[in-house]
Amino acid sequence: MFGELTQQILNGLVMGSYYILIAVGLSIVFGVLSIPHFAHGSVVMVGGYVTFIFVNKLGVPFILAMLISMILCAAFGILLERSAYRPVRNAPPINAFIVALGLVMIIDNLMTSIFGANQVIIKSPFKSTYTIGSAHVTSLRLFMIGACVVLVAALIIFMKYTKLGKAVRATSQNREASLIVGINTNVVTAIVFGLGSAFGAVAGSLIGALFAVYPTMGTFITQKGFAVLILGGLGSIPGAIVGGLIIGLTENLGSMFISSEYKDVFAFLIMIIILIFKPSGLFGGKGK
Amino acid sequence: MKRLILSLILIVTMVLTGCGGGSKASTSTGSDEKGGTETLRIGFNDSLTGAGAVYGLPQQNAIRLYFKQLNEAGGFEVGDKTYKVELVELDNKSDPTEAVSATRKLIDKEGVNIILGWASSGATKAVSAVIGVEYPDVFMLVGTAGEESITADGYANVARIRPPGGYTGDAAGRFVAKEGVKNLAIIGQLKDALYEQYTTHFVEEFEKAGGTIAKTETFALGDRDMYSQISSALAAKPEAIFVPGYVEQAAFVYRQLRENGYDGKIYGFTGGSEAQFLEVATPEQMENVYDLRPVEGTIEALGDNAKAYAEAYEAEYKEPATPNAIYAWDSAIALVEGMQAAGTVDDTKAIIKALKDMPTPESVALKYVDVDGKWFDPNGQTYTSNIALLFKDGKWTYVEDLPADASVYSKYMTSLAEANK
Repeated sequence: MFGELTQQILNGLVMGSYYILIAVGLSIVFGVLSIPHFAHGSVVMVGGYVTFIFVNKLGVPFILAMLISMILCAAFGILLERSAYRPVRNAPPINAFIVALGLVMIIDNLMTSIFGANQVIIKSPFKSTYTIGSAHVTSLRLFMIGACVVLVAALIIFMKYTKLGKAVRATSQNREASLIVGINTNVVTAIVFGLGSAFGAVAGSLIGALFAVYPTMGTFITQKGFAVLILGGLGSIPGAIVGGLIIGLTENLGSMFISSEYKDVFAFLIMIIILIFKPSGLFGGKGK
Repeated sequence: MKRLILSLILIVTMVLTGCGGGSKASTSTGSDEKGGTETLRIGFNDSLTGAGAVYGLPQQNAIRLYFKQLNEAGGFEVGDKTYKVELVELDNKSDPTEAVSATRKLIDKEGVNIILGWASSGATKAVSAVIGVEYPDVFMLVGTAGEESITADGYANVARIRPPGGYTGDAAGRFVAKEGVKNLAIIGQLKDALYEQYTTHFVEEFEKAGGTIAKTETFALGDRDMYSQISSALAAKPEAIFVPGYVEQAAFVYRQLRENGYDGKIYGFTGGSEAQFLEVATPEQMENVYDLRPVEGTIEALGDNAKAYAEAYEAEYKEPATPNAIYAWDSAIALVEGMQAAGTVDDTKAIIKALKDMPTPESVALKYVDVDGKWFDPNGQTYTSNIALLFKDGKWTYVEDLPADASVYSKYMTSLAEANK
């Protein structure tokens, strides 16, 4: 029992790290622009494919390929914002919503036509398995947790202690006031999309090595990402971190104590339960 | 500039989303070229995207290849006419709603009256109910989808090449018990009717022989993280693990079982090829894994027709055929044989009757077990033998046949069909 519990907690931490990487990207975009960026899952998928090309086709080392993917996805995210979201920024919110759905279809169809419908798996250098007590964990899974911790810590430092980070936080709190005090909100918006997409690229690369990358994976990623976001509080980075961990752990412990048949239901069930008692999410309204 | 980019994106989307559509509308036959050859339009509805694409795309390849060869050889004769085949293909995205919608488009808009393909059980089952009730003159000939009721709902115009899952599950349960396994954990895609039915029959026979099921864990179609199910299953300390599911999902279960330190026997029901498994798991992780399946495209266990098919497939697509693709190949053969025996390409009732009256023809690639001397039984179902394969040194190796009585199972299917009427 104790051995299984340790294993399930470890499993939950790994998946929680993955959800955090996705949700943090969604969260900073929502915090600044209040846009439901449904195409974020597709950006994660593109990030996975970029790493796949560099690693499997061009022989670039995994970590270097992931860094290249982060840069390219950051540029891709900025392009999406400039070409698709910015034209509807001042339109009714439904327009951004429809644009986001349109982007999902465009990107998913494009990737299907390029790569086909079948999954691809990124070759990873992390092949060892470690035993901690009676629990087992692969080095790739440990790397997933480590990458999440490092990137989230870097993001927090950036947001708290750099001028640009403070500009992002200011824009997130009040866009008009930020303009008045001389913050270039267009630059802030580009930074936010670039950062969010770079986080997405890391998530896509790691999940592509741990499991697989395929053109329709974005929908599921977006669903989970928004579940974390709503649970943690829209636009809150601490909320995304805590929400990701709660969902990762709940899925695995729920499978252990109740049934694996409802594994995917647990994430949404816990979200609903928490929203009943805290309608704005765990960190809603405080985390910005 | 922004508008230009948006316009370009929209154009690309329209082109891309338009790609999967069928071709021009016309009736199912039409006059053709110089030599008096007619073109016969046959529908194809399958999982070309989505979770079932891993089975649907190889089916598409096999059917395209068969008719390409047939057309290049000058077509086939029915009565005093010669026909070439044009496929009208639609993707059902492995989704029941999409499958029904694509079927209606094929019949109502494209005018076809025969539809091949059908790899995913969920999508196929949804369509068989529609075709069986609403389109009695349309012939639905199923390839890989193995869910039992597809040919046990009593629809006269639905037939299937692949044996139902339970038929193989019975034999597989007896095999595992015979191997001396007493205590088994199941990690399976048990929300999918095919795997649920296979497992039900498997467990019945396994328990009848004295075995017990220590733990049953479920994963969903599309899942790739099975760590939580594996942790729970291994906590029950089973002697062996049984994994029924799609090849992609099963491959992840095998890999993650080994990552979790499990080095015992694994029995599966997946129908996956070596290449499909090795894409996910290493040869070392696949050692000691069995697959308990219908004979499918296991070329060593088949004859010359199967070898010729496998060589042609590999030459055309530069990759080996997946085991299930052979069902689609034989479904195309069945169609042509049925038309020639019935002397018609339009009267689907006559084609179905001809198929149900004939013994297995020599042209097929698989080895079938005839029921009362007939290839297709009264339910429109064929039966092959079942086999156990073991993954050894990077490839599947034949272990033994899994005995099963096709006549008995056919009677069981008939009883289901009668109960459903």
